[in-house]
Amino acid sequence: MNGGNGTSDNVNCVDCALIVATMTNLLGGNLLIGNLQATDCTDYSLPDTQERNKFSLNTIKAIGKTIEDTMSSLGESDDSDAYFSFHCVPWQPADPENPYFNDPKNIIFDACVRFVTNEEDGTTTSAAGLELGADDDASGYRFGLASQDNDGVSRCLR
Amino acid sequence: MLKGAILHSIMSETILPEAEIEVVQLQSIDFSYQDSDHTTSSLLFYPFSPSWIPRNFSYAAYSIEDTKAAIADRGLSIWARFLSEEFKGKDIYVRAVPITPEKAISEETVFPVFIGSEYAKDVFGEVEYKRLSIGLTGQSIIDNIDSNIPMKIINSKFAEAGVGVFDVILNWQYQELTSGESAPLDDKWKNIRTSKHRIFLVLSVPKSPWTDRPFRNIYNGDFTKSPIWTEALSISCEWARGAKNIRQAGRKIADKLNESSIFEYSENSDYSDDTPPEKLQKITLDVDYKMMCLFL
Repeated sequence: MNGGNGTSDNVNCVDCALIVATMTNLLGGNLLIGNLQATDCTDYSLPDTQERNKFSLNTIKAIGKTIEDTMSSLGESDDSDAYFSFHCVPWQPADPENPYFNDPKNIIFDACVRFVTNEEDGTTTSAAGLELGADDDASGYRFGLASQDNDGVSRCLR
Repeated sequence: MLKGAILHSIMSETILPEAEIEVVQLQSIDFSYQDSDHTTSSLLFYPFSPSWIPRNFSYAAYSIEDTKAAIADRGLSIWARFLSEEFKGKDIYVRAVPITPEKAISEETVFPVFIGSEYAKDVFGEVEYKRLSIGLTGQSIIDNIDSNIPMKIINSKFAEAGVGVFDVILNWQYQELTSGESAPLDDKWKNIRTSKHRIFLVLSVPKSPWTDRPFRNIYNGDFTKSPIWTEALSISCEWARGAKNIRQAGRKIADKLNESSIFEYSENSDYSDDTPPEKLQKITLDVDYKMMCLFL
């Protein structure tokens, strides 16, 4: 535990979710981990899993990256939108006795990304402490993360 | 001037003339003891124990939710042990009043930053006076057996403070019993010594994967535990400082992590091949090291 610096600066959404959940649960939280994706398939060794699960994104800023770098690293180009093939988030169940990931009242605590509210000046807003939300819930987490079209918000929950 | 001089003396731990210190000695303080639990005393954590001995400092951690009833019912306890040659076979009063330190309690803490505030002493409360007996061996006794003496912490304000971590110094004092008095007199207290403590406040008892006490596996009889790490406790309590509920705490932690410039996003994490405990340990090392750099 006292070995000095760790391994690296690189983290993905799973790492961020794990850090937030374990640190919050240390304070008495009951956070769980869940994946936003379009289908139940989690076998990414299959050739079409990524394509089946992916959903397109609004403009976001990933942890430690600029907005531009974030979007290009997530596949944005002239021909295609940025997307996640899945996205792992820590969540607090609305009903702790019967936790159900798709409950729109669940609270999401995403430390991996921030939502971009103004692309020109780079203003962002937190993606933590928001209700998961329904497809059309403008104050919900899903509405902030995924694009408002057939490839986005409706596909980021199976 | 006087206040500054007193605090300087306290921090350097040479507050009193040796002769006065020898009259009553404070030997140990336990913030959790034997069958006590997190509703009436400190949580347990690793690698330290919530115990104090002379020339050291200690940690203690409390669940705000789980200690509510004890605070209301004056049931929050610590256990202290005393030695006195002078008062063998006699009774004395002892108590401890809190002081907010002006700098970090130790450079050797795992999170060596100053964590104090104007209200730190008011959050912890005070150790209520207690009449205790000194046995013929000079040790504090209960029923003629050398014992740690349970003492009440009163006037704590854990719920008002919310999540946090702060340092507090307890100034221990004693008073001789005088005939005709049924309670100690305000102007008769004499100093014993001070003890230094870092106090963590969490919202409720930690949940999975954490547990503050080992439990016996019903199938093979082994003790299993996933102890609370002091490093993680330091960072969580600092990042979520002031949170009054889980939603606030989770948001504070997520935002601090995102804004701290500790990590950079990559689809291919360097931690992803590890099992969860190993992954968390690596992450904790990174967070701990880099948080210290940020604050120093």
